[in-house]
Amino acid sequence: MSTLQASLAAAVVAATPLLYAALGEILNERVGVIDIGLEGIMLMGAVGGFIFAVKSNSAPVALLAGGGAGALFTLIAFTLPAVVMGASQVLVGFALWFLGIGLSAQVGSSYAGLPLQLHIGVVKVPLLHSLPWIGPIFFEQIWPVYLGVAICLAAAFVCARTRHGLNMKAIGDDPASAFAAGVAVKRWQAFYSVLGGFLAGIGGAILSVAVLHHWGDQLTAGRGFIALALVIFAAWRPLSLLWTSYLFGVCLVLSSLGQAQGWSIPSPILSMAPYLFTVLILVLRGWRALYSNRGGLAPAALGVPFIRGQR
Amino acid sequence: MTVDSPSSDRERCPALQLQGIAKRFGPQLALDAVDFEVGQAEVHGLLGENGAGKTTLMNIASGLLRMDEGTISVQGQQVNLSSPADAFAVGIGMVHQNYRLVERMTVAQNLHIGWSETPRLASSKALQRHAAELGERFELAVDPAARISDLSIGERQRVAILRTVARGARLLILDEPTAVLTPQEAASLFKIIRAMAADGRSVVLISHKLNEVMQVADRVTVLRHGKRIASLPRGECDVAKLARLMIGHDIVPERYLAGEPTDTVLDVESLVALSDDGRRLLDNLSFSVRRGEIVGVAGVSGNGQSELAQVLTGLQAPAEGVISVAGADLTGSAPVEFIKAGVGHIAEHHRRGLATTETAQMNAVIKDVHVPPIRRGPFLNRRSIRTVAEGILDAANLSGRAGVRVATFSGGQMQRLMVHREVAATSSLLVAMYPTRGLDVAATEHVHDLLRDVRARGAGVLLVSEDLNELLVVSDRILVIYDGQIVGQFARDQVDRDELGLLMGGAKVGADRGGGEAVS
Repeated sequence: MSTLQASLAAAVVAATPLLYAALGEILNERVGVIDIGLEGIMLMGAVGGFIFAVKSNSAPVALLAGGGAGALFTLIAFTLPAVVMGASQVLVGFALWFLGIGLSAQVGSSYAGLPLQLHIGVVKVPLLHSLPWIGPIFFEQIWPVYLGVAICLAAAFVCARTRHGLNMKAIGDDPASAFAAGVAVKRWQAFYSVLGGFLAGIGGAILSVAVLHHWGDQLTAGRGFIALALVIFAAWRPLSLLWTSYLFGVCLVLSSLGQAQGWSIPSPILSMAPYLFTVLILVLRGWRALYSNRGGLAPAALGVPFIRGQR
Repeated sequence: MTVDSPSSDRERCPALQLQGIAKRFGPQLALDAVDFEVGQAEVHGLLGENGAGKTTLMNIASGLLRMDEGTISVQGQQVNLSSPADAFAVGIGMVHQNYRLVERMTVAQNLHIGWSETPRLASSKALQRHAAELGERFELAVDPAARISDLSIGERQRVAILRTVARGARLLILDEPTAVLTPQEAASLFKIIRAMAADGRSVVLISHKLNEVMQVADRVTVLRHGKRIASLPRGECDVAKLARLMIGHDIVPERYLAGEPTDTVLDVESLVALSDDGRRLLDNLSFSVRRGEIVGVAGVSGNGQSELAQVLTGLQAPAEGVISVAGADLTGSAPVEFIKAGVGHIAEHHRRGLATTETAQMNAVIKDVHVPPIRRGPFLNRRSIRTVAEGILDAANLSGRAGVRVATFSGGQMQRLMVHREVAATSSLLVAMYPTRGLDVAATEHVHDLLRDVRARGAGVLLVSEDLNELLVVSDRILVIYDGQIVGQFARDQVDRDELGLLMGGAKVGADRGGGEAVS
C-alpha cells in the first residue's frame, strides 16, 4: 500500500466519527430538532468509550458505552429542557457543548494520556477488497466503518420509503399539522434527539478508541461542529452523507498526508483545512436553496419548539 | 367504538355528547359549561358569532385542545381524548379552517401522514396510487402528485375532507367549510354532507351563515360568548330566529350603494405572470380601476387571483405587461414602492398579512416603519407608534390589546386588524383579497362599509371574492377571472347571475356587458 493509499484509508476511518454524529443530527433535524451541542455529546461519548475500552478491552462494549453516555447526557441535558419543556434549542445546545467539555474532562481525568491496546476487527469485503488500488482504501477497514455505512443506508431507506419517514418529514415541516393528522410529535422529537445523542456518542467513542487511540481534554477539537456543517452539506439526506463525510475525512488527514508526501505547505495550514472547507461549503451550498419556503431542503420548522394548541 | 349496534340503541345514545365543557385561555373564559349533543346520522349546525367558542368546542372534541372541565362521550361511552390520534380512533375527524395540511408535501403524502393504515413501506408511487383510489372511492378526486402549496383553497379543502373520511370518521366536524367556496362548490359540498349523513355518519357544521345552516342541518345549536344559547331541530328554526339567537338582535339585509367613479387610478395592460415551472398563471390581463369605484373580481380560487394580488402589490414581478398606479409606472417595483403609492393590500390570509409573533401595536404600524412619523431618523418613534396604532386598533375594536402578541388572537380578530390597517393605509388603491372570509354577519357588513369608505375617499378598490352575494352587494363593476384570463365584464346593472356562474366555471359565453374601458 502506497503512502497515499494509506492516507486515504486513514481518511475513511477519520470520517467515521463524523458520519455517526452527522447522521444522528440529520435524523433529529428531520423531526425539527436542532442540537448544536454535538461537540459536547461527542466528548462524553469519547470519554465513556475510552474508559470502557480500557476496562473491558472490547470494542463493541466501548462503542455501546460511548453511545450510552451520549444518549444519557443528551436525554438529561438537552431532550428534557429543550424538547419536552420547550426551551430554546440553540441556547440549550450551547450549554451542552460547555457541559460536555467540563464533564468529560472531570470524568476522564485519570485516563488522560493512558495508552490503549484495543483490537478492533478488520473486515475484508469479499471481492471488493481485491479491487486494484481502491480496494485496500475502502474495503479493508475496521468493522465500525461498515456499521456506520449500514446505519446510513437504513436511515436513508426509512426516510425515503416508509410511513415512518413520511411522518418524520411532516413533523419537521409543520408539526402542528402533523399533530392534527395524528402524529405523536413530541414523542418522536424526544426519541430522535436521544437517538442523535446515542449516535454522536458512538462517533465520539470511535474517535478516542479507533482513530486517535487516546483520551485527552477536548479531544474532539471541533469535530462536533464539522458534523453540524456536514448535515447542511449533505442537505439532510443520509445517503449524501456517505460521500460528504468522506471528503471531510480527507481534509482531516491532509496535514499528515502533507508531511508524508513532503508538501511545502506548512502543516498548521493543512490542519485548518477541515474548518476552511466547512466555511467554504456553507457558502457554496447557497442559503436560498436550503431555506427557501417552497423547495428548501431544510426542514421548514427546524428549531421551533412545538407547543400544542398554539394558534 | 361499535357502530353496528341495534338501531334502537343507536337512536338512544348520541354519536357525540359533550357535557359541562369549560375552557380557559389565560384569564379569558372561552367556554362556560357547554353541553352539546350530536345524534346518529345527524347533520348538526353549530352556529355562532366570531369568538363565540364554536371552534374551541370542536377542537376539544377532536382532541386538539384539552378541556379544563367536562366529559366527552362517544357512542354512549365516556372517552378521554388527549390527542387527535385518540379522536380518530373513536371515529371523530375534524377538517380545520386552515385544513392543517403540510404545504410542502404532496396530496398523497398529506393523506397518509400519521395514519395507521398507511402501509409501513410507503414509496411515493405507492402512496400516489393509494391516494388516487381513495379519491375515486369517496368521489373527492385531487391530483395525488400535486403539492399542497400549488393547490387552490377549494382543492385543499377537498384533500382535508378526503383525509378525514378516508380514515373512517363516523363523525365529521367541518369548521366554516363554505367560507371560501363558490355557490356551486358549496352546493356540491352540501351534497357530500347529505350523502355522509345518508351513509350513517354524523356531521357537525361550524358556521355563522344562517342560510346554509338552515339549508343543510337537521338540528342547530347556537353559541354566544362561550355559552350555549339554544339547541333546536330545524323545524323550529327560521333565519330571523336564528339571527336573534346568534347576535341578540335582528338583521337588516344589506343594500347596494352606487359609487361615483372619476379618473383611472389603476391601469393594467397585458399582464403575464409565470409559475416556477413556466405556466401562465396570469395570461394577458388588461383592465382598469377608477377612483371612487369598487371593481369586483369573481372567480373560483386558484384561477390567478393570488398572483394578480401579488403582482399588483409588488410581491411578485410580472413577466410581461405594464402596471400603472395613479399615472406612475410601477411595473416590477418593490412592495415598498406600492405602499408609498398608497396601495393597500388585504392579504389572502391574515397569516400572510400579519407578523403573528409581534404585538398588535407593531402589526398596526408595520407598513409605516420606513416613513415619518413612525420613523424618526434611524429610530422608531415609540409615541407615534402608540398613537397611530391606537387609531387603527380602536377602529378594529381591539383597543386594550395593543401589547398582545397577534399569535394569540382568534382568526376574526386577526382579520379585523389586517383589514383596518390596510384601509387606513390606502390612498390610491385597495387590493382586497377575500376581506370577509370567515367573518360573521355584523363583521362582514362592517368590512363592506369600510370598502365603501375607501371608495368615498376617492380611492379605487379591487375586491377579489368568491362570494357572489358579496360581489353583487358591494361592486360597481364585476370582472370574471378564469384560468388567468378576464373572461367577462359586467356593469353593475347588467349582471346575469347564471351567466356569471357559468363564466366562473370556465364555460365560453360571449359576454362583455359594458364595463371596463367601454364604460369609463
